[in-house]
Order: sequence, then C-alpha cells, then structure tokens
Amino acid sequence: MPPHLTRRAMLATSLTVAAGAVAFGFWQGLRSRAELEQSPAPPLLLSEDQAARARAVAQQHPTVQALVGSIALSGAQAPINPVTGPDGRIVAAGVWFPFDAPRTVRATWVHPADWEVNWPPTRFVQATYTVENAEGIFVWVDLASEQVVRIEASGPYARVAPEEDPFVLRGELRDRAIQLALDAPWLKGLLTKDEARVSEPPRAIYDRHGDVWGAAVSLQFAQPVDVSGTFPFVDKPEYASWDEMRIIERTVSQKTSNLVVIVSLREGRALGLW
Amino acid sequence: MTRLHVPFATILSFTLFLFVGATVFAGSTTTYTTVSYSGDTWYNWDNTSQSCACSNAVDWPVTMIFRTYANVNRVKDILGGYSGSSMYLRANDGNGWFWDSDGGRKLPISGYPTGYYHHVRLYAPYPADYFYSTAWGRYVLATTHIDWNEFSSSRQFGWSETAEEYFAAFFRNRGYSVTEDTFWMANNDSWPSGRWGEGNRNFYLSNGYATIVVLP
Repeated sequence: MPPHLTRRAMLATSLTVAAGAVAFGFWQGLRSRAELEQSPAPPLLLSEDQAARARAVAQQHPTVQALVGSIALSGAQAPINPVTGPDGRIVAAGVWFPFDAPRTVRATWVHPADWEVNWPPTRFVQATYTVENAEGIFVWVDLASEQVVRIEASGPYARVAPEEDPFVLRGELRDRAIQLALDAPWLKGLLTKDEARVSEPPRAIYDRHGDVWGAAVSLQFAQPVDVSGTFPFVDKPEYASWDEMRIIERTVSQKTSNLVVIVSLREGRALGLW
Repeated sequence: MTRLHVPFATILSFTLFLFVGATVFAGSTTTYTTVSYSGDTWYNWDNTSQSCACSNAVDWPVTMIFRTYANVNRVKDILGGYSGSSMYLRANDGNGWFWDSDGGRKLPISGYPTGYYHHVRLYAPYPADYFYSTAWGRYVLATTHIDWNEFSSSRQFGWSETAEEYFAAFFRNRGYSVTEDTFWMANNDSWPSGRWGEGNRNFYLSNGYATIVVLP
C-alpha cells in the first residue's frame, strides 16, 4: 500500500476513535446528569389477565395443592411479580404463596439452571428434599406455555436437609474438589502448621448455562489459625454469574478457624479464598 | 478498509456493551429519598453502581447506624467474618456530595452450610471512614441483608429487617448499647409481608426504622 494511503487510513482511524471517544464522553455526561435527576423508569408489569392465568396455573400445581392448608392467602390474593428473561422482556410470572407460619415441607422442587441465558429454560435441578423453616413457596409460570418452570420453598432461614441437598457435590466430584483445595500451593503453609478438616460436602458452583464448573470447599481448623500474608481471593459482584468472577491478590492478617476455598473443576486447580 | 474495521468494531462492540450491560438486574423501590439529620444528608438505600443515584438501581435499605466513636474499620473488626462485594451509598457530609463504596462483612449463618450469610455494608466519607455530627459524634451508616445459597443458581438475597435484627443482637450480646428500630429512615418497603423483586432473586422487607448501636 502506498505510504500516503496508509497515513490517510491511520488519520481516518484516529479521527474515528477520537470522534467516538468525544461522543461517548458527551453521552456519558448527559447520561450521568440525567440519571441523577431522572424519575424512575416505569416498572415492568404483568397484565391483569397474565396475573390471573399465572395464579390459576400455580395454584393447581400438586405441591401447592398439597400445602394449601398452610398457605396464609387465598390463591387470588397471592402476590405476583414479573420475571424477565435474558433479553429483558417479561417471560414468566412468579407467584408467592406465603405460609401462615414457618414450616417444614417436603416435596419435589424444581430449579431452572440456565434461565439467565435461555428462555424457556432447558436445564433443571429437580430433586425431592425437605426444607425446614420455609416461609412460603414461589412458583414461576412461563407465560407462553403456561407451564410451571420453577418451584421452591423459601425464607430467610429456610434450610435444606443436609443429606438431601441437591447443591452439594457427591462421589468423585466431591473427592476431586476437596483434593484440589488441599493441593492449593498458597495453602501449604497453613495446612502444615495446623490440621484442617473439610467441614461439609463441597457446594457446587454453576455457570449461567447450568453446568457445574467449580466448588466451594469449607476447611475447618481445630483452633483459630493466623492467616497472614498475600493470598488469591475470588471476587465477584454479588449478582453476577460465576463466569464473571476474577482473582485478586489481597493481603490479610487475621485469625480464623474456617476458610472457604473456591476450586475450578474445569481448570483443575484451586482459584482462591472466598 | 481492513484497518478501519478494527476501531469501528471496537466502538460498535463497546456501544453494544453499554446498552446490553445497562440491563442489569437492579432493584427498585418507591421509598428511595434523601434523609437529613444534624447537618448531614444521605440517600436511604445503597445503589448498585455509582452512575445512578436513583430509585431503580437500589440494592438494600439503610437499616443501622453505628455512632459515638464508630468508624468503618472499627465496626468490621468487631464483626470479623468475610469480605463481600461492593455497593455504593451517596451522601453529603457538608463538604459536598460523594459516593462511598463498601463490600462490608459477611457472617456465616450458624448451623447452615457455606453460602448462607448475614451481610452488612458500612458507609462513611473516605478517608476518615466516619461521618461526624454533633448529634451522633463519629458515625457510620449500614445496610443489611441475608445472602441465601449464594453458590447455587437458586441464590436469593434480602430480608433486610431480619438481618438488622441479627446484627442488633450480635452487638447487644457483645455488650454494646443497642436501640432497635429507633431512627426514621423513611425506607419502609413492603413491611411486614415483604415482596419479591428481580425474578424472585431479592426479597424486600424493611419497616423504615434504623437501629442505633453505640460504640463508646
């Protein structure tokens, strides 16, 4: 290419980037000013018809029917909220059936595992287990198919019976996760000084597609240990998926008797402390 | 032509990111407002980013005040626990509006597996890490909530009032003077039944009154 064409192309590139940057800065300035002064965007709402149909579907679910005597509100009064899919549109209705008092409930519960990227969801964690201290049940009804795609017991202190918990790793995956945690090179110093035991089955960590990519392994020391130095920590915005986590180096100095190690089963290594 | 594709693609993808990335699952409330007391002003909920002090990008209500000789690190030292991910509070301590960010402390819920926490975030002007007023002395503001099964695809968050009660008891049990639900913070949301938001991810529950803890 002749030199003057190269220069012209470079100039055009530079001008394009500069114009983009100026436009972006201007837009950001307008945006931040507008956001600080804006009135709230109108909330996404279900129509009355959608709400009525979703309540009717949810109410007919066998698990809801089995517990109807414990539910504090009639089906028509059950609070309902919109559920938005991956593209931000309303795709389902969440119907909440609060109990008259915290209860122990046993049923087959359904969790959609990939709903943040696929709607309707295609992968589910479905299991029968007991939940203690449940304060109610919520049911998601897919508006298009009018099918129940999620049903869970919930409450601030709702607790899944440990031996039935579907979110823990078992068998080979459990053993592998524990071994990866214990093999973490940055833990060696602590593990040689004090004996640690794995205090509970590792908890599975899913990505947004519903695949198990890792685990949280909880290590309990017989007595508090002095954790001092620079360690890798797994950092993730609270509502982000685990695909978006990052590893940061953090210098700490504290005594603790419990450490949680995040391991990647895909990468076959411990990533950092939690 | 080939040379021009790169910046255009970069700008295009960046622009797309801005628009797509903007559809974050942020919460909203009808009770987001400023509260003024003894010369200071703050918003009564924290926000999910610093770009928007607005009611449709809220996280949790301000439910606690640590006062007299409080600062962020002093409260955290008493709490122990784990670090959490950051959120943001907008306030004005008389020297202009500012954002403070804090990840707070997460305390495992006793008897529950890993991934269940009481979570408190603590806010104050940086670098002092405390507000000062003649009424409360050195104080910090805090939001509270519960993290429920946070390693699973079924994770849920919220129950701010329940978490406030837990932290009130935590400090009372360690000998601090605690007055529950005593300062009107005007962030009552769906009290006492609560409400779900963000596709049953967040459960909002706040009676609008903050608890005051005295750190002498």
